[in-house]
Amino acid sequence: MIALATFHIAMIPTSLLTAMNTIAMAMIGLTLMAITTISVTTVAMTVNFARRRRVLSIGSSIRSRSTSRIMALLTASLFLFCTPRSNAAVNVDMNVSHAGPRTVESLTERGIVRDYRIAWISLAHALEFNALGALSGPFVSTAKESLVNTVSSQQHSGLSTRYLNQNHKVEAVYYAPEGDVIELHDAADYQLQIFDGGKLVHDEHVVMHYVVLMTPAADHWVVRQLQAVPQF
Amino acid sequence: MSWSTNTVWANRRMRRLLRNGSGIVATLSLAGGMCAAQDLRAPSAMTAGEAATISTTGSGKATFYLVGPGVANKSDISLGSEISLRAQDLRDSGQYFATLCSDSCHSASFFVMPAKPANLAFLVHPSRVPVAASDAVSGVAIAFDQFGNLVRDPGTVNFQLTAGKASLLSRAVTAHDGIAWFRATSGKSAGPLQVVASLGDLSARRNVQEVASEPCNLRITGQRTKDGLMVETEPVHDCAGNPVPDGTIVSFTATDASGKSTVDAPIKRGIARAEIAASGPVVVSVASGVAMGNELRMGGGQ
Repeated sequence: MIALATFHIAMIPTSLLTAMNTIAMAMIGLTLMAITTISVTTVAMTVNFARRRRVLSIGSSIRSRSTSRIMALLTASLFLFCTPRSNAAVNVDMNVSHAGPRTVESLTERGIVRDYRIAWISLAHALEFNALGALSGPFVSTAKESLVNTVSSQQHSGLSTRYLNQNHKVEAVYYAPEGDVIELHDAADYQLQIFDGGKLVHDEHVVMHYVVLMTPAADHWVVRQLQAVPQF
Repeated sequence: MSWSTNTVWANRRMRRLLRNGSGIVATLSLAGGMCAAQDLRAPSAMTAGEAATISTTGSGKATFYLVGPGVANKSDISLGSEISLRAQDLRDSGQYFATLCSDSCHSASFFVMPAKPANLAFLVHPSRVPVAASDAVSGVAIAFDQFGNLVRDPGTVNFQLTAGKASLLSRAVTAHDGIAWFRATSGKSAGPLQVVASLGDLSARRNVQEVASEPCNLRITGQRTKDGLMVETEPVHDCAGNPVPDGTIVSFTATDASGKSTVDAPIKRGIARAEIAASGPVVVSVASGVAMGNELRMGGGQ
């Protein structure tokens, strides 16, 4: 389903990307929930049958309560597992008051915030699941090449990277006279986890400074440059 | 450069051992880990595309991870030796995380800075511009190194605008965060405008076509024909004397006893021409864009 959701992602408007991933995940969740429900019911029936044979005095109400608890626990676990963690928390706050020479209009600001957030969701998804398709919409040029190289390298070495609880304080520092490029400073903090297969080898809350170049595409903004710097 | 220590494995192992009641084993395990303590030290400054080394301490085998922009490598190394980082793994500027794992994991992060400027992206707008238009031409120059990293402090960018042999603008602009820009008024004569941005040995050249502005001082003449009137403009120029390009629409409006009729005609070879069906006395006016021309009055017998 994930593969389906990200298939030919370049042809899908990026605004739909998050929704598609979420729907795909929800469908997986529902499917697994149904399978689990059937399995748990079968197990519960078997257990009940065995118990009836051995201890007939145990009341059926207690058994059904236990079964319900197991089911609820499994269902909750499945939903937690299936929720795309990379989408879970990406907060973007933007300040455009110091941008110039062109003034950033409110609609433009909203579009940039939306697309920059989608870019980070896609980045986190791509690096967590080593899914190259997620990079096609929001990133172009150098930013995309670098991320594609990272994902390919991760695939080769069996690594994955998780970006959790992302907070981005973004300031627009330059907006071109013709509106064809905007430069952002992003003071971001997030939990960075690096996995070797299933093993966590690095877990750190990091504060990063990114210089970002975004340009307008047909109907959205794309990240052209995403470069971490020591400070602004 | 920032340093961090990651003891994820050690903590997990300790908790697991304590939970199982193996306190002594846990203590020994940690002590053993400390005896063979490994650490790594990265250089304070690295440049994109240049090989580097990271020194390690300790003894025995370990796994080394390098994760950064464009790279996520894993390799087995011997503690106490130097780890060579290949130039091709350090092409992208940004923050890298180097992690060394044996009993526990230790990490160091470092920055790779861009190399010297090698490319100048130069965006110039518009591609065609009317002459004498205020702040109509703008350009943005962005400096990148040979690997496509943004060079944040490239120095001063020189912008030069030349129309024919006349220099319209020469301005030195200090780049901020890798970006230098200018805005200028277009020249007074139609033709190609050369816009050049230069940074040290690098330069980027763009052409803007300066075209005549709105028509100015439209004048028409006319004569009676068998079916009506033939009217035409004199050669159409803008206010600076540049010929208005062919294809520009000129509107002729004729008013006679039967009412008003309008004919649109494109300029061909500098002149717009139209035939208007009219009889009796008629007044013909002309306009193009926001410019109005003279009125032509013709009697019924003329």
